Amino acid sequence: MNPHELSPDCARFRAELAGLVYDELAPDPRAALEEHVSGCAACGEELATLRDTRRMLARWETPTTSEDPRALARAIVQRAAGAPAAAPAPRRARLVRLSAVLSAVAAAVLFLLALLGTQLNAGDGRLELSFGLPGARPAPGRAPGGGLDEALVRTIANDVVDDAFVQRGAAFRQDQEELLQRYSLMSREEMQQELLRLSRAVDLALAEKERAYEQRLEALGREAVRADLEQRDRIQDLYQILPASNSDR
Amino acid sequence: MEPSDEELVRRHQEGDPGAFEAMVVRWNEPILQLATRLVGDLEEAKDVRQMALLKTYHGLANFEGRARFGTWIYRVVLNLCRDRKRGAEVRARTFEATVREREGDYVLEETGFHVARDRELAEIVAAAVLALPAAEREVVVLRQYHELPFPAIAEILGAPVTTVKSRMTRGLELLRTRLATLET
Repeated sequence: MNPHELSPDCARFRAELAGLVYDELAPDPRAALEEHVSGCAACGEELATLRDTRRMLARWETPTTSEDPRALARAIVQRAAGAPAAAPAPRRARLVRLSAVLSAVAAAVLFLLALLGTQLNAGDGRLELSFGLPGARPAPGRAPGGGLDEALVRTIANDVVDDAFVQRGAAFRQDQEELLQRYSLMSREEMQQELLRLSRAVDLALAEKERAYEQRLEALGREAVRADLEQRDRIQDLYQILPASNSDR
Repeated sequence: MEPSDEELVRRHQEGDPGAFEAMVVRWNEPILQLATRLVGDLEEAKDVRQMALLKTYHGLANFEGRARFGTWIYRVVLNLCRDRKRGAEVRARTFEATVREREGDYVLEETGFHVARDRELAEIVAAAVLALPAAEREVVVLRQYHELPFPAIAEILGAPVTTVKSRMTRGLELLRTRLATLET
Protein backbone atom coordinates (compact mmCIF):
# COMPACT_ATOMS: atom_id res chain seq x y z
CA MET A 1 0.00 0.00 0.00
CA ASN A 2 1.21 3.48 -0.79
CA PRO A 3 2.01 5.22 2.53
CA HIS A 4 0.15 8.27 1.26
CA GLU A 5 -3.03 6.19 1.15
CA LEU A 6 -2.79 5.10 4.78
CA SER A 7 -5.55 6.10 7.11
CA PRO A 8 -4.46 8.22 10.10
CA ASP A 9 -4.92 5.13 12.31
CA CYS A 10 -2.76 2.97 10.05
CA ALA A 11 -0.03 5.64 9.87
CA ARG A 12 0.02 5.91 13.68
CA PHE A 13 0.25 2.14 14.17
CA ARG A 14 2.81 1.63 11.40
CA ALA A 15 5.23 3.84 13.35
CA GLU A 16 5.04 1.29 16.17
CA LEU A 17 5.35 -1.85 14.04
CA ALA A 18 9.09 -2.17 14.67
CA GLY A 19 8.33 -2.24 18.41
CA LEU A 20 5.87 -5.08 17.85
CA VAL A 21 8.24 -7.02 15.59
CA TYR A 22 10.93 -6.86 18.27
CA ASP A 23 8.58 -7.32 21.25
CA GLU A 24 9.38 -3.97 22.79
CA LEU A 25 5.91 -2.54 23.30
CA ALA A 26 4.37 -2.01 26.71
CA PRO A 27 1.20 -4.10 27.30
CA ASP A 28 -1.34 -1.36 26.53
CA PRO A 29 0.12 -0.08 23.25
CA ARG A 30 0.75 -3.66 22.24
CA ALA A 31 -2.86 -4.65 22.80
CA ALA A 32 -4.08 -1.61 20.86
CA LEU A 33 -1.78 -2.35 17.95
CA GLU A 34 -2.68 -6.05 17.84
CA GLU A 35 -6.34 -5.15 17.83
CA HIS A 36 -5.79 -2.78 14.90
CA VAL A 37 -3.74 -5.31 12.98
CA SER A 38 -6.33 -8.03 13.43
CA GLY A 39 -8.91 -5.82 11.70
CA CYS A 40 -6.66 -4.22 9.04
CA ALA A 41 -5.49 -6.47 6.23
CA ALA A 42 -2.86 -4.01 4.96
CA CYS A 43 -1.23 -3.52 8.35
CA GLY A 44 -1.48 -7.25 9.03
CA GLU A 45 0.35 -7.97 5.79
CA GLU A 46 2.97 -5.33 6.59
CA LEU A 47 3.56 -6.84 10.03
CA ALA A 48 3.89 -10.35 8.58
CA THR A 49 6.46 -9.28 5.99
CA LEU A 50 8.49 -7.34 8.56
CA ARG A 51 8.54 -10.41 10.81
CA ASP A 52 9.63 -12.54 7.85
CA THR A 53 12.40 -10.04 7.18
CA ARG A 54 13.52 -10.24 10.80
CA ARG A 55 13.65 -14.04 10.57
CA MET A 56 15.64 -13.80 7.36
CA LEU A 57 18.16 -11.45 8.99
CA ALA A 58 18.97 -14.19 11.49
CA ARG A 59 20.53 -16.16 8.61
CA TRP A 60 23.56 -13.89 8.74
CA GLU A 61 25.31 -15.61 11.58
CA THR A 62 27.76 -14.18 14.04
CA PRO A 63 31.33 -13.82 12.82
CA THR A 64 33.78 -15.44 15.20
CA THR A 65 37.53 -15.46 15.60
CA SER A 66 39.92 -17.76 17.41
CA GLU A 67 42.11 -14.94 18.68
CA ASP A 68 43.13 -14.74 22.32
CA PRO A 69 41.60 -11.53 23.73
CA ARG A 70 44.14 -11.46 26.59
CA ALA A 71 46.99 -11.33 24.10
CA LEU A 72 45.13 -8.59 22.28
CA ALA A 73 44.75 -6.63 25.54
CA ARG A 74 48.46 -6.96 26.25
CA ALA A 75 49.30 -5.76 22.73
CA ILE A 76 47.04 -2.73 23.16
CA VAL A 77 48.62 -1.83 26.51
CA GLN A 78 52.08 -2.31 25.04
CA ARG A 79 51.27 -0.13 22.06
CA ALA A 80 49.74 2.57 24.27
CA ALA A 81 52.73 2.54 26.59
CA GLY A 82 55.37 2.27 23.87
CA ALA A 83 54.12 5.05 21.65
CA PRO A 84 52.59 7.77 23.81
CA ALA A 85 53.54 10.50 21.36
CA ALA A 86 51.94 8.64 18.47
CA ALA A 87 48.55 8.67 20.14
CA PRO A 88 48.36 11.54 22.61
CA ALA A 89 44.69 11.94 21.86
CA PRO A 90 42.21 9.79 19.93
CA ARG A 91 41.34 12.58 17.49
CA ARG A 92 45.00 13.12 16.67
CA ALA A 93 45.44 9.42 15.98
CA ARG A 94 42.59 9.47 13.51
CA LEU A 95 43.93 12.55 11.77
CA VAL A 96 47.37 11.05 11.39
CA ARG A 97 45.87 7.99 9.74
CA LEU A 98 43.81 10.19 7.46
CA SER A 99 46.83 12.25 6.49
CA ALA A 100 48.73 9.09 5.62
CA VAL A 101 46.07 8.25 3.05
CA LEU A 102 45.76 11.73 1.63
CA SER A 103 49.48 12.39 1.56
CA ALA A 104 49.72 10.07 -1.42
CA VAL A 105 47.41 12.41 -3.31
CA ALA A 106 49.38 15.44 -2.16
CA ALA A 107 52.64 13.78 -3.19
CA ALA A 108 51.23 13.18 -6.66
CA VAL A 109 50.18 16.82 -6.91
CA LEU A 110 53.58 18.01 -5.72
CA PHE A 111 55.33 15.72 -8.19
CA LEU A 112 53.27 17.20 -10.97
CA LEU A 113 54.15 20.71 -9.77
CA ALA A 114 57.82 19.73 -9.73
CA LEU A 115 57.59 18.43 -13.29
CA LEU A 116 56.05 21.70 -14.32
CA GLY A 117 59.02 23.51 -12.84
CA THR A 118 56.85 25.16 -10.22
CA GLN A 119 58.32 26.01 -6.84
CA LEU A 120 55.93 25.53 -3.96
CA ASN A 121 56.67 27.09 -0.59
CA ALA A 122 54.41 25.77 2.16
CA GLY A 123 56.12 27.45 5.09
CA ASP A 124 54.38 29.65 7.65
CA GLY A 125 51.04 28.09 6.85
CA ARG A 126 50.92 29.81 3.46
CA LEU A 127 51.04 28.34 0.01
CA GLU A 128 53.24 30.32 -2.35
CA LEU A 129 53.97 29.47 -5.94
CA SER A 130 56.70 30.58 -8.30
CA PHE A 131 57.18 29.39 -11.82
CA GLY A 132 60.41 28.27 -13.44
CA LEU A 133 59.57 29.35 -16.97
CA PRO A 134 61.57 28.46 -20.06
CA GLY A 135 61.66 32.13 -21.08
CA ALA A 136 64.29 32.70 -18.40
CA ARG A 137 66.77 30.47 -20.18
CA PRO A 138 69.34 31.66 -22.77
CA ALA A 139 67.87 32.10 -26.21
CA PRO A 140 68.39 29.13 -28.52
CA GLY A 141 70.97 29.60 -31.23
CA ARG A 142 70.73 29.53 -34.94
CA ALA A 143 72.31 27.24 -37.45
CA PRO A 144 75.22 28.71 -39.39
CA GLY A 145 72.96 29.03 -42.39
CA GLY A 146 70.65 31.34 -40.45
CA GLY A 147 67.85 28.80 -39.55
CA LEU A 148 67.12 27.27 -36.15
CA ASP A 149 69.58 24.75 -34.78
CA GLU A 150 67.31 21.81 -33.96
CA ALA A 151 69.98 20.01 -31.96
CA LEU A 152 70.48 23.04 -29.76
CA VAL A 153 66.74 23.45 -29.21
CA ARG A 154 66.50 19.78 -28.28
CA THR A 155 69.40 20.16 -25.84
CA ILE A 156 67.70 23.10 -24.14
CA ALA A 157 64.43 21.18 -23.95
CA ASN A 158 66.28 18.32 -22.29
CA ASP A 159 67.80 20.79 -19.85
CA VAL A 160 64.34 21.92 -18.85
CA VAL A 161 63.31 18.34 -18.16
CA ASP A 162 66.56 17.66 -16.28
CA ASP A 163 65.89 20.69 -14.12
CA ALA A 164 62.51 19.32 -13.21
CA PHE A 165 63.82 15.93 -12.23
CA VAL A 166 67.19 16.74 -10.71
CA GLN A 167 67.51 20.32 -9.56
CA ARG A 168 64.01 20.53 -8.19
CA GLY A 169 64.10 17.06 -6.67
CA ALA A 170 65.52 18.22 -3.34
CA ALA A 171 63.05 21.10 -3.08
CA PHE A 172 60.23 18.71 -3.89
CA ARG A 173 61.24 16.31 -1.12
CA GLN A 174 61.57 19.15 1.35
CA ASP A 175 58.16 20.53 0.37
CA GLN A 176 56.65 17.09 0.79
CA GLU A 177 58.14 16.64 4.26
CA GLU A 178 56.89 20.05 5.36
CA LEU A 179 53.44 19.32 4.04
CA LEU A 180 53.29 15.92 5.69
CA GLN A 181 54.23 17.58 8.97
CA ARG A 182 51.43 20.09 8.52
CA TYR A 183 48.93 17.43 7.44
CA SER A 184 49.42 15.49 10.65
CA LEU A 185 47.86 18.46 12.48
CA MET A 186 45.00 19.10 10.09
CA SER A 187 41.38 18.16 10.42
CA ARG A 188 39.59 16.40 7.57
CA GLU A 189 37.99 19.68 6.46
CA GLU A 190 41.29 21.55 6.53
CA MET A 191 42.90 18.78 4.51
CA GLN A 192 40.15 18.88 1.92
CA GLN A 193 40.70 22.63 1.60
CA GLU A 194 44.43 22.06 1.24
CA LEU A 195 43.96 19.52 -1.54
CA LEU A 196 41.59 21.92 -3.26
CA ARG A 197 44.26 24.62 -3.08
CA LEU A 198 46.87 22.24 -4.45
CA SER A 199 44.54 21.26 -7.25
CA ARG A 200 44.04 24.93 -8.12
CA ALA A 201 47.80 25.44 -7.97
CA VAL A 202 48.25 22.70 -10.58
CA ASP A 203 45.63 24.32 -12.81
CA LEU A 204 47.38 27.67 -12.41
CA ALA A 205 50.80 26.18 -13.13
CA LEU A 206 49.53 24.39 -16.23
CA ALA A 207 47.92 27.55 -17.60
CA GLU A 208 51.04 29.62 -16.84
CA LYS A 209 53.29 27.03 -18.43
CA GLU A 210 51.16 26.84 -21.55
CA ARG A 211 51.18 30.62 -21.91
CA ALA A 212 54.97 30.75 -21.43
CA TYR A 213 55.57 28.07 -24.05
CA GLU A 214 53.33 29.87 -26.53
CA GLN A 215 55.25 33.10 -25.97
CA ARG A 216 58.54 31.28 -26.38
CA LEU A 217 57.34 29.58 -29.57
CA GLU A 218 56.26 32.93 -30.94
CA ALA A 219 59.66 34.43 -30.13
CA LEU A 220 61.45 31.50 -31.78
CA GLY A 221 59.27 31.92 -34.86
CA ARG A 222 60.05 35.62 -35.09
CA GLU A 223 63.75 34.88 -34.68
CA ALA A 224 63.63 32.26 -37.43
CA VAL A 225 61.88 34.64 -39.80
CA ARG A 226 64.40 37.41 -39.03
CA ALA A 227 67.27 34.95 -39.63
CA ASP A 228 65.77 33.90 -42.95
CA LEU A 229 65.38 37.52 -44.00
CA GLU A 230 68.99 38.29 -43.08
CA GLN A 231 70.15 35.25 -45.05
CA ARG A 232 68.12 36.38 -48.07
CA ASP A 233 69.61 39.87 -47.81
CA ARG A 234 73.12 38.39 -47.77
CA ILE A 235 72.35 36.26 -50.85
CA GLN A 236 70.94 39.26 -52.64
CA ASP A 237 74.08 41.21 -51.73
CA LEU A 238 76.14 38.38 -53.27
CA TYR A 239 74.06 38.55 -56.46
CA GLN A 240 74.76 42.25 -56.58
CA ILE A 241 78.48 41.51 -56.44
CA LEU A 242 78.70 38.42 -58.70
CA PRO A 243 77.58 39.91 -62.06
CA ALA A 244 80.11 42.67 -61.65
CA SER A 245 82.86 40.12 -61.00
CA ASN A 246 81.83 38.08 -64.06
CA SER A 247 81.77 41.12 -66.27
CA ASP A 248 85.28 41.95 -65.08
CA ARG A 249 86.54 38.60 -66.51
CA MET B 1 29.35 -12.65 40.00
CA GLU B 2 31.00 -10.86 37.13
CA PRO B 3 32.00 -7.26 37.88
CA SER B 4 30.12 -4.60 35.93
CA ASP B 5 31.82 -2.54 33.26
CA GLU B 6 31.75 0.47 35.53
CA GLU B 7 33.40 -1.56 38.30
CA LEU B 8 36.18 -2.62 35.88
CA VAL B 9 36.66 1.01 34.86
CA ARG B 10 37.00 2.02 38.52
CA ARG B 11 39.52 -0.78 39.13
CA HIS B 12 41.53 0.29 36.09
CA GLN B 13 41.55 3.89 37.31
CA GLU B 14 42.83 2.63 40.66
CA GLY B 15 45.70 0.85 38.94
CA ASP B 16 44.43 -2.75 38.68
CA PRO B 17 46.44 -4.14 35.71
CA GLY B 18 43.94 -6.96 35.11
CA ALA B 19 40.90 -4.70 34.75
CA PHE B 20 41.60 -3.63 31.16
CA GLU B 21 42.29 -7.24 30.16
CA ALA B 22 38.92 -8.26 31.61
CA MET B 23 37.25 -5.49 29.59
CA VAL B 24 38.90 -6.68 26.38
CA VAL B 25 37.82 -10.28 27.09
CA ARG B 26 34.25 -9.03 27.52
CA TRP B 27 34.10 -6.55 24.63
CA ASN B 28 36.41 -8.10 22.04
CA GLU B 29 33.72 -10.09 20.24
CA PRO B 30 30.90 -7.48 20.36
CA ILE B 31 33.26 -4.83 18.97
CA LEU B 32 34.49 -7.11 16.20
CA GLN B 33 30.97 -8.22 15.30
CA LEU B 34 29.66 -4.67 15.18
CA ALA B 35 32.59 -3.43 13.09
CA THR B 36 32.39 -6.40 10.72
CA ARG B 37 28.69 -5.90 10.12
CA LEU B 38 29.12 -2.17 9.55
CA VAL B 39 32.23 -2.11 7.36
CA GLY B 40 31.77 -5.51 5.72
CA ASP B 41 35.35 -6.69 5.89
CA LEU B 42 36.91 -8.75 8.66
CA GLU B 43 40.42 -7.34 8.34
CA GLU B 44 39.17 -3.76 8.33
CA ALA B 45 36.94 -4.63 11.29
CA LYS B 46 39.99 -5.90 13.19
CA ASP B 47 41.68 -2.60 12.48
CA VAL B 48 38.62 -0.76 13.82
CA ARG B 49 38.65 -2.99 16.90
CA GLN B 50 42.29 -2.22 17.60
CA MET B 51 41.69 1.52 17.24
CA ALA B 52 38.60 1.29 19.44
CA LEU B 53 40.45 -0.56 22.19
CA LEU B 54 43.38 1.84 22.00
CA LYS B 55 40.96 4.78 22.24
CA THR B 56 39.28 3.07 25.16
CA TYR B 57 42.57 2.51 26.93
CA HIS B 58 43.55 6.16 26.52
CA GLY B 59 40.08 7.36 27.51
CA LEU B 60 39.59 5.23 30.60
CA ALA B 61 41.61 7.55 32.83
CA ASN B 62 39.14 10.34 32.14
CA PHE B 63 35.96 8.24 31.96
CA GLU B 64 33.53 9.88 34.36
CA GLY B 65 30.58 7.57 33.95
CA ARG B 66 28.17 10.16 32.61
CA ALA B 67 27.09 7.51 30.10
CA ARG B 68 27.18 3.75 30.58
CA PHE B 69 30.47 2.21 29.52
CA GLY B 70 28.68 0.07 26.92
CA THR B 71 27.06 3.15 25.39
CA TRP B 72 30.42 4.86 25.26
CA ILE B 73 32.29 2.01 23.60
CA TYR B 74 29.53 1.44 21.02
CA ARG B 75 29.80 5.14 20.14
CA VAL B 76 33.56 4.80 19.71
CA VAL B 77 33.12 1.87 17.31
CA LEU B 78 30.33 3.57 15.35
CA ASN B 79 32.42 6.70 14.88
CA LEU B 80 35.41 4.71 13.69
CA CYS B 81 33.20 2.78 11.25
CA ARG B 82 31.62 6.01 9.97
CA ASP B 83 35.09 7.24 9.04
CA ARG B 84 35.29 4.22 6.76
CA LYS B 85 31.78 4.41 5.38
CA ARG B 86 32.87 5.19 1.84
CA GLY B 87 34.71 1.87 1.67
CA ALA B 88 31.75 0.08 3.15
CA GLU B 89 29.42 1.52 0.54
CA VAL B 90 31.73 0.49 -2.25
CA ARG B 91 31.98 -3.01 -0.80
CA ALA B 92 28.24 -3.21 -0.35
CA ARG B 93 27.76 -2.57 -4.05
CA THR B 94 30.39 -5.17 -4.85
CA PHE B 95 28.70 -7.65 -2.54
CA GLU B 96 25.36 -7.09 -4.14
CA ALA B 97 26.72 -7.52 -7.64
CA THR B 98 28.50 -10.67 -6.49
CA VAL B 99 25.42 -12.12 -4.96
CA ARG B 100 23.39 -11.29 -8.03
CA GLU B 101 25.86 -13.11 -10.20
CA ARG B 102 26.21 -16.04 -7.77
CA GLU B 103 29.93 -16.16 -8.35
CA GLY B 104 31.53 -18.60 -5.98
CA ASP B 105 32.53 -17.90 -2.40
CA TYR B 106 33.57 -14.28 -2.76
CA VAL B 107 31.49 -12.93 0.11
CA LEU B 108 32.52 -15.68 2.46
CA GLU B 109 36.20 -15.35 1.64
CA GLU B 110 36.20 -11.57 1.82
CA THR B 111 34.42 -11.23 5.11
CA GLY B 112 35.46 -14.33 6.96
CA PHE B 113 31.95 -14.93 8.20
CA HIS B 114 31.41 -18.47 9.33
CA VAL B 115 28.12 -19.48 7.85
CA ALA B 116 27.35 -23.07 8.64
CA ARG B 117 24.20 -23.63 6.61
CA ASP B 118 22.27 -22.18 3.76
CA ARG B 119 25.31 -20.19 2.81
CA GLU B 120 23.90 -18.54 -0.23
CA LEU B 121 20.99 -17.02 1.67
CA ALA B 122 23.35 -15.80 4.36
CA GLU B 123 25.43 -14.09 1.70
CA ILE B 124 22.35 -12.43 0.28
CA VAL B 125 21.32 -11.17 3.71
CA ALA B 126 24.83 -9.87 4.43
CA ALA B 127 24.88 -8.04 1.10
CA ALA B 128 21.47 -6.53 1.75
CA VAL B 129 22.38 -5.27 5.23
CA LEU B 130 25.69 -3.83 4.05
CA ALA B 131 23.91 -2.02 1.24
CA LEU B 132 21.55 -0.19 3.63
CA PRO B 133 22.08 3.53 4.15
CA ALA B 134 24.37 4.10 7.14
CA ALA B 135 21.68 5.43 9.49
CA GLU B 136 19.38 2.45 8.91
CA ARG B 137 22.27 -0.04 8.88
CA GLU B 138 23.47 1.08 12.30
CA VAL B 139 20.03 0.69 13.88
CA VAL B 140 19.32 -2.65 12.20
CA VAL B 141 22.68 -4.08 13.24
CA LEU B 142 22.45 -2.85 16.84
CA ARG B 143 18.87 -4.10 17.25
CA GLN B 144 18.97 -7.32 15.26
CA TYR B 145 22.47 -8.60 15.97
CA HIS B 146 23.38 -6.96 19.29
CA GLU B 147 19.85 -7.21 20.67
CA LEU B 148 19.96 -3.73 22.13
CA PRO B 149 16.53 -2.27 22.93
CA PHE B 150 15.46 0.86 21.07
CA PRO B 151 16.00 3.23 24.06
CA ALA B 152 19.61 1.98 24.42
CA ILE B 153 20.21 2.51 20.69
CA ALA B 154 18.72 5.98 21.00
CA GLU B 155 21.19 6.77 23.78
CA ILE B 156 24.13 5.50 21.73
CA LEU B 157 23.11 7.49 18.67
CA GLY B 158 21.99 10.57 20.61
CA ALA B 159 18.65 10.45 18.78
CA PRO B 160 15.01 10.24 19.96
CA VAL B 161 13.55 6.75 20.37
CA THR B 162 10.89 7.55 17.77
CA THR B 163 13.63 8.32 15.24
CA VAL B 164 15.36 5.05 16.01
CA LYS B 165 12.12 3.10 15.55
CA SER B 166 11.34 4.80 12.27
CA ARG B 167 14.88 4.03 11.03
CA MET B 168 14.34 0.39 12.04
CA THR B 169 11.04 0.20 10.17
CA ARG B 170 12.56 1.92 7.16
CA GLY B 171 15.54 -0.46 7.31
CA LEU B 172 13.30 -3.53 7.45
CA GLU B 173 11.23 -2.22 4.54
CA LEU B 174 14.35 -1.63 2.46
CA LEU B 175 15.65 -5.08 3.35
CA ARG B 176 12.35 -6.68 2.43
CA THR B 177 12.44 -5.01 -0.98
CA ARG B 178 16.11 -5.78 -1.52
CA LEU B 179 15.87 -9.38 -0.41
CA ALA B 180 12.80 -9.93 -2.58
CA THR B 181 14.74 -8.54 -5.55
CA LEU B 182 17.78 -10.64 -4.86
CA GLU B 183 15.79 -13.83 -4.47
CA THR B 184 14.24 -13.59 -7.92
